[in-house]
Amino acid sequence: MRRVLLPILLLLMACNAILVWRLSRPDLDLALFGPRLRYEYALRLEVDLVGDPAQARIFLPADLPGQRVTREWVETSGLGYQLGSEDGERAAHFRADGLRGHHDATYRAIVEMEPTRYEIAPGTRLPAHLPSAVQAQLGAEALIQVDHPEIEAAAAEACAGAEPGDVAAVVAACFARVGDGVANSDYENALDALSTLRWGEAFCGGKSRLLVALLRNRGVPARLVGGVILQPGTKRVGHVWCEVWVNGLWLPLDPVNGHYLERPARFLALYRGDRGLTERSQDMNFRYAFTIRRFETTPEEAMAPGVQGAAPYPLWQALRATRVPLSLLRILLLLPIAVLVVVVARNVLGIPSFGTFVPALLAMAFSATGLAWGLALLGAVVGIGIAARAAIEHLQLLHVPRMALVLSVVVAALLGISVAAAGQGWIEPGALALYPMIILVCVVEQCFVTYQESGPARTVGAAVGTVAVVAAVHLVIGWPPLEALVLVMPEILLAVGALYLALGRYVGLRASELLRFRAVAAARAAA
Amino acid sequence: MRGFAGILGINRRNLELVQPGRRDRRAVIDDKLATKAVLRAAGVDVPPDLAVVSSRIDVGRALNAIRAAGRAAIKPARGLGGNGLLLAGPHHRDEDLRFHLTAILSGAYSRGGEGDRPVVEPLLADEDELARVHGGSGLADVRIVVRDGVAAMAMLRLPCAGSGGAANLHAGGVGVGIDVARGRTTSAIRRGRGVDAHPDSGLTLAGIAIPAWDHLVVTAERMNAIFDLAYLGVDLVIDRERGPLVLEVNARPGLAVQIASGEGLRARFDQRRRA
Repeated sequence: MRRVLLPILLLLMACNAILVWRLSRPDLDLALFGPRLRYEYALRLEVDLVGDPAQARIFLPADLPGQRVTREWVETSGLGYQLGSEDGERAAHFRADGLRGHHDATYRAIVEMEPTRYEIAPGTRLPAHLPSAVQAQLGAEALIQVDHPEIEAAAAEACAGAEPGDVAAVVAACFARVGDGVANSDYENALDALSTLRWGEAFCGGKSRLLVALLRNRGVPARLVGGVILQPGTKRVGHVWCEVWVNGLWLPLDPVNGHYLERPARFLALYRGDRGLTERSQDMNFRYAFTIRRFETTPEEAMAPGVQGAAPYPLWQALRATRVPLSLLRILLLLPIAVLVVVVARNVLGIPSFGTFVPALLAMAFSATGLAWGLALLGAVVGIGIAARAAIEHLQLLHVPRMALVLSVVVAALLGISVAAAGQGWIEPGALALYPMIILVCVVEQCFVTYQESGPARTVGAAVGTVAVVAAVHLVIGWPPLEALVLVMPEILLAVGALYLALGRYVGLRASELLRFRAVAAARAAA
Repeated sequence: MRGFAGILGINRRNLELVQPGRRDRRAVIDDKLATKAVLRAAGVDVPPDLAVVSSRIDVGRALNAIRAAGRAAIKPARGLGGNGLLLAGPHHRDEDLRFHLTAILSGAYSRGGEGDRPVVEPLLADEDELARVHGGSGLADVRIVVRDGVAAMAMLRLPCAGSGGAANLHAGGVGVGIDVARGRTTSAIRRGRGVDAHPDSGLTLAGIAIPAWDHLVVTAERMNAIFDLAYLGVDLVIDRERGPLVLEVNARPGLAVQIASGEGLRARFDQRRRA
């Protein structure tokens, strides 16, 4: 290790010096490293019309604590639309007069999210008079049977240990009763509070309504909140949770995921109250889907006056003159860190994988499709490649032409899968770009080279290792502050370089070798 | 934890033992034909060449030589492990043998797919004592790890039915540690687990005396000087007709010999240095 000590120290000192200089500058926006997340949220409606007048209404995200809409726009294929409000919630109304056939409309918004967290001070009591708007959140509704005797009994029992006016204790007791006392179910079964209480299990709608019913029964104003959990990818299911009114603020509660008085940054709220996200007239086929992706600031948007808080990245500014796209810069800067994970996995832990750069690039390509879909795609592609190779085994072809044939089959299969997945709405079409395709084909080739050189057992081991390493890289580079860190402070890559130097001289046993040689070590220790 | 201190891991092997060696020397060892030429020039016994195949022109003559000998071993000069080994016999058709020779020439089995040359040797057979232990399923060999002219550790590799006749540990062969000083076997492993008897013959694996052991050790210890590399794994066979032969030399010998011997290579190097 002595040989590299000097270069390591020089790198770390350089990194330190630049960091100190940068942190001392007044225009540095440290808020960039906070847990603020930026997403592109899209809600896509698809309708089949028969020519009658048709309408649909969706609720739109609004600016709330921990949630800010910085841009929004609508794309339609012929439907008219108007942004406005309904019942105090932001809404978009779509209409079609006399249109026929398949049409779609997509609402998109850039949202900035922060988690929120609250505490109810012990001894907080409900005020004697509630504002009338809040008062309305105490009554019974069709699916929230506040005054039903069974609800009353359950609420009384749950809050038996709490002093009646003690808001903190009552909220905690009711939350525990629903959070722990009612199981989470995958089915859309019990929809209303009473059924949920009787069945003992429900999905988010039922559990949230029960919690609201219990709270209201004890005199604490509460309401439902509907929205969606922002995870990259496409899905059709939203989420419902609750809010409870304390001292003029609506505090979040999610009895399904156990979030007590906190709202994670990924929870996007779309409407309050017991209503549906969408409403539409009868004569049409109707379906909708959410598509969410982590948002990359395009240079124009970053500089646009309407976007707040998107600090111009210093390195990006310098390179703008050379027209290097931000997406490329992001990849180049994150790659050393991604590869570091692979190197640590191999040289320190002893986890084998196909190649060194390939797993890192693969993980970065999966940030567009999401890890689960990415791994499924990887498994499908490798499986098809193996099947294709086995199918032509008996033809006894020479090595290079055989590889070319197999890879051509893999490319064709990839094309087919992409078209099918995009058509079904599983993956947003934009996610399947050229670059992930290339990486996947490289993986298949590496896989076969390993098979050729080391046999089937080693290949399976490397395949499993590759999946593990890809997941690990994805986890590391998916950490939101890292992207901002590396774009604003690229000097941390000097420290990464120092780490590479240190790893280059690491002669210790790999973790896998601790396992492999354990019998020998035991024999040596005994002797 | 202390027990791990004397064990050689792959990181240290690569950084301290393999990489410092000259790359052109390792290239010689990676090519079996070049290795045999160097060994012959140094007066070391190696298996003879039944035929020399440098290009497709030579394939016909090689085929004749193989048919004249009845059986032969065809392997790529720059193949990895046992990859590309074909034990040719009367049951193979001419076009199969031709295809295999041509495939090797085209680089089907070599790293990176570059062109290669086949090694065509007579089929070797173990002398009686070793053949008895493994029941005749293949060819056994002795792997001796040498450093700076001193034999550090050794193991006897035995084939079995389950390994398809290969002595290679990765393929499922049996690895039996050898006491370097006395030339007798100690303990054995197969697929990472300890075994007491050979799975086919049922004979005990401990306490076997390796024939011509002193000769094997002296031959192996010459390799560091001959190839100008400080750390090598030498594979020797004791052929029934021709006696002890050097089959192959490895620039990156595997670390499983430690498991077979129940001892660590680092500890062994330290002992030798102190002695």
